[in-house]
Amino acid sequence: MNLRRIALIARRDFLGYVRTLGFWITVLGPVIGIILGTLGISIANSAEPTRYVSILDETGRYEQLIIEDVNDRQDWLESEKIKLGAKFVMTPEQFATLETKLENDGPEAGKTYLQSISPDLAARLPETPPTLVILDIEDLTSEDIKPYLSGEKTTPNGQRLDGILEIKDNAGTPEARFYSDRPGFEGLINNANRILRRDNLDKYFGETGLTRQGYSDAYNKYPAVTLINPFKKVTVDGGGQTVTLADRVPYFLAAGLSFFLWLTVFSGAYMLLMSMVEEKVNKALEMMLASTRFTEILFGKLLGVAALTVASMLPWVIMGGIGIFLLIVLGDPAISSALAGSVTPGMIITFICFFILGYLFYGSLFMALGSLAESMQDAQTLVTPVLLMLTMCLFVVSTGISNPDSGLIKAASFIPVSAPFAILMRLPNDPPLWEIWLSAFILLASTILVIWGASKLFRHGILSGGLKGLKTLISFGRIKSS
Amino acid sequence: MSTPPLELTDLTKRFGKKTAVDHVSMSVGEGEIVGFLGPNGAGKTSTLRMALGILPPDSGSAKLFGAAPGPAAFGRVGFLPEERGLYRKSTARGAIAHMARLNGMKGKDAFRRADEMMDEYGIGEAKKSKVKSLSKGMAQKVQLIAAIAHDPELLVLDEPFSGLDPVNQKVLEDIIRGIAARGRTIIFSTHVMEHAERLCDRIVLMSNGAKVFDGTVDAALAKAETQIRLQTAADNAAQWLSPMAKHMTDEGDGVYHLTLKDEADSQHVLKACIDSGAPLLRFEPEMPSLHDAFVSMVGADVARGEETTA
Repeated sequence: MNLRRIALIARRDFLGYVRTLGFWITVLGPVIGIILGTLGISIANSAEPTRYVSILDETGRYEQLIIEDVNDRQDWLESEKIKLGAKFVMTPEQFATLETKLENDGPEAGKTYLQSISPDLAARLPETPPTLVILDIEDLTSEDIKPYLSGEKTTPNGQRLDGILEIKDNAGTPEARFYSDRPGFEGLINNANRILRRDNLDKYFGETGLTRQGYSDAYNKYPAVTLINPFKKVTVDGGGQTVTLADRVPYFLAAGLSFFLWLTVFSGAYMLLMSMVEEKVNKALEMMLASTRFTEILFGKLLGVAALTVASMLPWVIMGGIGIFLLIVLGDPAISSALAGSVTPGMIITFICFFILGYLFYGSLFMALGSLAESMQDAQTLVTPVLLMLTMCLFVVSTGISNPDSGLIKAASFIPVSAPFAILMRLPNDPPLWEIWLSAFILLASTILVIWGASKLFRHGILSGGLKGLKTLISFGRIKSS
Repeated sequence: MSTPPLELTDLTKRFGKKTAVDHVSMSVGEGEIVGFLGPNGAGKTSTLRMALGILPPDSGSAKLFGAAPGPAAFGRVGFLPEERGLYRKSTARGAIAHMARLNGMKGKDAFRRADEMMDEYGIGEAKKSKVKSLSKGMAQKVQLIAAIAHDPELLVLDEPFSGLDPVNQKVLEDIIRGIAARGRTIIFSTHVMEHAERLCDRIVLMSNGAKVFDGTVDAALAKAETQIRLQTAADNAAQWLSPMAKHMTDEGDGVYHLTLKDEADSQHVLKACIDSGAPLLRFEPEMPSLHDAFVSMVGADVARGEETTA
């Protein structure tokens, strides 16, 4: 085989598609989606008006508690925003100090500390204007509710109210109503409900001599079962064998890679189909056959479409990479370290090998079937069984996450159609090396067989013009290869 | 003696029960223009495909420049298939350069050559046009240029004239003559015999998958039956003309069209006319065409049958 000719065919196929508008819509689709989504959220947030409310509390017990709850919520949001930014510029020790300051002294203290570490970031942190302002109106009565909401009456600074929370005392039991004519505006409902529930619980526990805090501690801090993996390495302090979320990271990573392969095969297969149908319509191949081998055209097209698929997946790869980076920087250190530990040279090599073999296996199959088709409808009919087979491989991925050492996954790793996905799912469980080799060998042999068969079908499809009944397929063995 | 660019030995190809090519042997010498003739369905395309290694033969062998078709001949052969096709979304110069590069030319040279040839063949204005926007004649020119841009030693053209209007057929004939003038070897198939008559040094006639003639155009024409149209005032002309005619048509007014028997010739007919004493008003021996030669070689029924089954 001549690599130059393969490269030329691949290049033509690649550039032929890259120059189309459809390709760029596919490639930039996710980026455009994210930009539009972010823009939309940003516009929606900035467009959200500040609402003004007031509280008419006849009991005298709840107003202050509700105001504190609203302020706590705003402080929490502010603190999270500071922490999110601080992760990029602070050392773990500095970050721990920041957390303590936020916890004890509030967001202002946290922001001051951040300013001392990174004045630039502190200055860049966007201000979050409050969306809800509670105004204190003296001598507010039930009769004033309607006039204030209609704008007939306004606050001392001329503000019309968007809602009024009224809490009455009904024989020792609070009775709360929120008045507003703004559709979808919930105002203080959630804050008030939280406080009223807390008050109710306090009352209940008070009667029994218990405390709400005591109940909460008893509920949450029970001696839960610890999941231990006795084969995990024991740490210096004698622990380290506890199974945590971090232990699941390699499985999620394997599932991610497996799904990426599936997505590549799936979208690549569609492009190969389109490419083959286009070839049939263009009828350009016969001319090339006087100067190129069948196999060179086959590999050239596979390579070209592979490059095209990777290029169209690039935004997803970049976004995935950014996601993993953010997870490592911002996420739980244990998970970050588990993620970093999962990416071993062995895993990368296995992934690349099975990725290439899996793509070649399915790609050749789709090309052969595509070459028999006369139109896109023909092609879709022909590839439906293969697509169903490919869809079933998704079950291998989902089963692999929950049960990576099941018999199903093990068997699937030796069946060529599912082997690339199954073996990736098995990798975190460290399967015996000979099983990986056997799986690779079976897949390689099947891939060679499929390429051999595909080149026959491909030649037949190109020269004869298509699938002429099952007889063609049955008799294709008689078609000699070049 | 130099190695012939193309040599076929006993090539046979069957599709199911039908024998498409039946033990065909032929050789095309360096610098020759060979016409590969026969009606539709005669086995021309299958033979050419086997000659180029695109279709494997069931038996027999094909040799390009002394070796089996394959990488050794890549770049030395240009092929214009019967089914025309170019990448529709590609530019005309891009399509030509792509083929030239596949045939071994370097990128810049291929594009420069594409530009030069498009100018030379009068379609320079379409260099950057997409193939899909070209007229049929233009697209065929582009494809022909794509087949010859790398200046192949052997050019194989399968039905190059089909689909072209008379003006473009003439242009294509001139192009073929121009290529031949550079000493290149050309073999082209056609079912329109007149092109071969005008262009070829040698013709190969095919019928029902088998070769029925291989030689010069003159030798083929010599195989055609002699035909004469004459007019006489004699009432009994049919009587004394019929012994010499294989086939005779009375066209009225004393006009007869004769296809002579193998042993008869125009001199015999002329002598018979004079001997009859009747006035001879018209005597026109007809120039035979390749089609006549083909019909005389395979028989009218076979010739008609092949065309209708095609």
